[in-house]
Amino acid sequence: MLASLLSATLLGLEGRPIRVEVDVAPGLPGFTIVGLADTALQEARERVRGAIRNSGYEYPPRRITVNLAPAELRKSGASLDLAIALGILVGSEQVAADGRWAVLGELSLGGELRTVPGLLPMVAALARRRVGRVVVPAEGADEANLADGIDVVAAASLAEAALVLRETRRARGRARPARVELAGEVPAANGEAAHAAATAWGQSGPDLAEVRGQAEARRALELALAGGHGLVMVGPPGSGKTLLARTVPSLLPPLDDDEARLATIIASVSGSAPLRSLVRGRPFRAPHHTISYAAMVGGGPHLSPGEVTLANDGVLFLDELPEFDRATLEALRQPLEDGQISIARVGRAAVFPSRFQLIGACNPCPCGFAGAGDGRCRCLPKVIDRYAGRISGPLRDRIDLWVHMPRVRPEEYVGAAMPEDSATVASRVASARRRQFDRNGCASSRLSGRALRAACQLGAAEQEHAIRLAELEGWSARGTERLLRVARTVADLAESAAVEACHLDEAARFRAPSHRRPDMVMVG
Amino acid sequence: MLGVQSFGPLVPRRAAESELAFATETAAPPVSAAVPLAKCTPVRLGPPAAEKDAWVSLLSISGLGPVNFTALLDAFGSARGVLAAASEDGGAERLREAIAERELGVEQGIADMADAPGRSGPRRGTLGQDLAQRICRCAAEGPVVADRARSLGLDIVTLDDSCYPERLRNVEMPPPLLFVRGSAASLSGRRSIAVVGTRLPTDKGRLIAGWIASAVARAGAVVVSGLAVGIDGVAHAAVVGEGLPTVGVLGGGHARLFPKAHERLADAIVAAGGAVVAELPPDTPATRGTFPRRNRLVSGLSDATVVVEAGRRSGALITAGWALEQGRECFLVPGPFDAPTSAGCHSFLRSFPGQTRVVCGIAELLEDLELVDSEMPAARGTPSSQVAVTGLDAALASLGGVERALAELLAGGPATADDLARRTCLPVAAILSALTLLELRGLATGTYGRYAPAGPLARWPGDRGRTSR
Repeated sequence: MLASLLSATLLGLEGRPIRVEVDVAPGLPGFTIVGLADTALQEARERVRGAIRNSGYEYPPRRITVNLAPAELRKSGASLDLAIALGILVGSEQVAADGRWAVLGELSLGGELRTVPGLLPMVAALARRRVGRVVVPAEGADEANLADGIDVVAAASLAEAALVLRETRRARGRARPARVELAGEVPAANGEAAHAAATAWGQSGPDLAEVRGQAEARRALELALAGGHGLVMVGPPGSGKTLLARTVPSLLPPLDDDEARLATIIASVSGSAPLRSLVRGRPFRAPHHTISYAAMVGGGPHLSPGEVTLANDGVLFLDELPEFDRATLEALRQPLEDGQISIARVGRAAVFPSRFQLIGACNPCPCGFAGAGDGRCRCLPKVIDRYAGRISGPLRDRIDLWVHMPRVRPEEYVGAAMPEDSATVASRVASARRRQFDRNGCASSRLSGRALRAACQLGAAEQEHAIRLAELEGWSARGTERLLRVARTVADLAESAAVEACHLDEAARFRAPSHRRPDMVMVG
Repeated sequence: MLGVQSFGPLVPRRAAESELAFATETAAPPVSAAVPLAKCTPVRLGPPAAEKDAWVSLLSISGLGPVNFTALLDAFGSARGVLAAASEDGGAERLREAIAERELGVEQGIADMADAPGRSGPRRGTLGQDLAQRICRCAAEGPVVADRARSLGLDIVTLDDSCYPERLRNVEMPPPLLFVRGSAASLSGRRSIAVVGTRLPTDKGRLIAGWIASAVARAGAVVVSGLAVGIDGVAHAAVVGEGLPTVGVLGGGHARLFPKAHERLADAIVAAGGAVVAELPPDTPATRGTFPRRNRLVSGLSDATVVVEAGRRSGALITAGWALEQGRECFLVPGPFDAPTSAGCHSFLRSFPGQTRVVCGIAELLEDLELVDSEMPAARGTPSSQVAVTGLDAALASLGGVERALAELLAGGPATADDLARRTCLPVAAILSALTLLELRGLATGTYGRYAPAGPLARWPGDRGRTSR
């Protein structure tokens, strides 16, 4: 007998509804899956066989053919396990069900139902298809419930799922599990509760008050977070670069509703842990420098999102920037520019959002002590050039803020002066961001050209000053834009409507160093 | 047409004197006498352009050194004569025969050094087959290198030009050609002092190099250095910051400026009326071997050489060695006796007692160099502090309150933004924008998060007391 059930698979960040047709026919016993299934799906045969037998059902000794439609779409992952197993049970007339049910989930050999990465976008895709009801693994029920417009029924095992199918046929008015509406349970944006949630998410992050000294770098970080600018911190080992970066989660305002929806979908697809509610904390990703190209930008057999996507609307922190693979670093250019990255493989393509903010850290030279002023660094200029040259010019151009972090002296460690804590700075950052979004609809790091000039409102004197600053540094048009962008953020932090000369001056402080030795800078 | 006589021989005139320099205790003559102008005053007529081009072509041939060049010039009357002969049929053979006929008496100093023991009698020159072939090929090519140099805007100064610096003419084996970018006259300034040192200096070393260079320049001397990173770069930058001429000597050719980081510095030197000089043709890369050669020019162009910081194996010591050999004065700045960055200075002082001098203060150095001008008359009884403070005040007068406070702190030595914030109790945003303003005015520079005084602010402040750190 032929059985047909709806399920879904994942392509990029999108769910794709899949019709699973199972034909249990007389003939030599066998099990074939057709319809461009990948390895994980081919292995579904073994999981399904075990699950059926261990759930108290009979595995029919007949010729079983599974067709996955649409046929031309490449399917991957284990999300179709449950549909195949239930199809066999329906086809062998052990279970009755109608075709309007959608089922999702991976099976264990024992018949338990497991959640799969990307459950949320899959359920959402089924909802868009106007599917009325979906059975999902119990541990993923909260996540699936985040999708609107579809009834979600949780099942812990194959047997339970079969029961659900049969029972709801009879008792349609059965009480639904508690719903978590996508737009509900949202704490007031930028409210204290939201901020608490965000900081709780960045649980292990240290507070900014723990960073001693480094006034210049703290200021640079505040500017970077307020304006969404790229930031690179250069300093010797032990100067606190990584510590400072780890305070970032405690400084960022929580995601707004749209951002939270996208972040939740990305979190679902990345499949790190079952989700309970909307993701509200800004992502902070810190991959190690041995990361592969595909892990950074996304790709792989399942077109999985890379770090640039996982850090969407948040921060991508790259420690030891020059140690990253050159190709990996260069691949950051498109996402930094466009805010998205398109990954194409033969027959498939996916576009991932990647509006991340880049924060990098590196040493000034291979030994790390250049500029300490004590003659300790023995690196030859050529070696330093080569080290700094690992961050290419085009990538440098896309980073707005550069700050050097000298070693902290003992008197700063023991000094009584208490630096500002995260909450103080976070509130300034949040209000500067609000000013920017109210005025431009985006962070100042995304401004350019006419919009940037309009946002800056430079007076005649300020224009002249900006030209002097730009000329002095031998800046290109790109460099001048960067100066204006950063100055706009400085002004926003100062709650100033117009960009003034002192804002430009401060912005000029954080320009990219010539990637050569700095003696030339002596000529000013 | 000018004959060879008008070009004069390439024979170094000072071989015997330089030996003397090492032998006598009073090797270092008073600086004013260090330029024996009287010895080489015959009016020289610059060679016509074509002859100059021929010099450039010949001297750009790898393997053709001064010895064979002189021999060829003597044999054929002029460089053009050499090239004309080379472009004929069988030119290579003619060149080789001409060289083989000549006695190599010209270069006794070199010949002595190269001679294997036991060899005697007049040495005959030899010109290798390959080299002769290369000369022929070069003759066929025409003045490629000279055209290249001109296209880069370089002046070519030959040993026989009247503008060839006399100081350099007086060293042993002066370079026959100089490629000059900028003002060739700055090479022949009234006084000229080399300030050199390690490429990896300490903050203190940088500060001192800046003090010395700007004091020397303001006293009217041209500062010569090697355009390297570290002390050399600081010295040049300090002089450029004063708007005064300085001379940078390249280790390679102009088109292969090394270090590349100093391209802007080189431009600034030329803009300030100084010069960038190279002995090698424009497209020659700087290599390990070319730097000692360059150092010989640095000391040769100068009346005296000042070494600020030098590690045990620093190239600055080679410059100091050349200075002694060339009969020029040599000053070394001492450091703490266990400082690795000064170890070279100390061992050099110890190795050449009586020939080297210690720098124990800016005013004292100027006095020793007989460089005392109206602005720094420390040695003549006027308190130097007054003058220095006046100069500084002039620079500070135009600044706003925050900038002035920072300038005064920075004059005491490099500081981080944290130091400045702690000592001024100002918000860091105000400090950062004020630092940019100071930078715009050429009073401060920032490297690696540390801000250092520059320009007039980096001048030695006399006894004003900079112990406030």
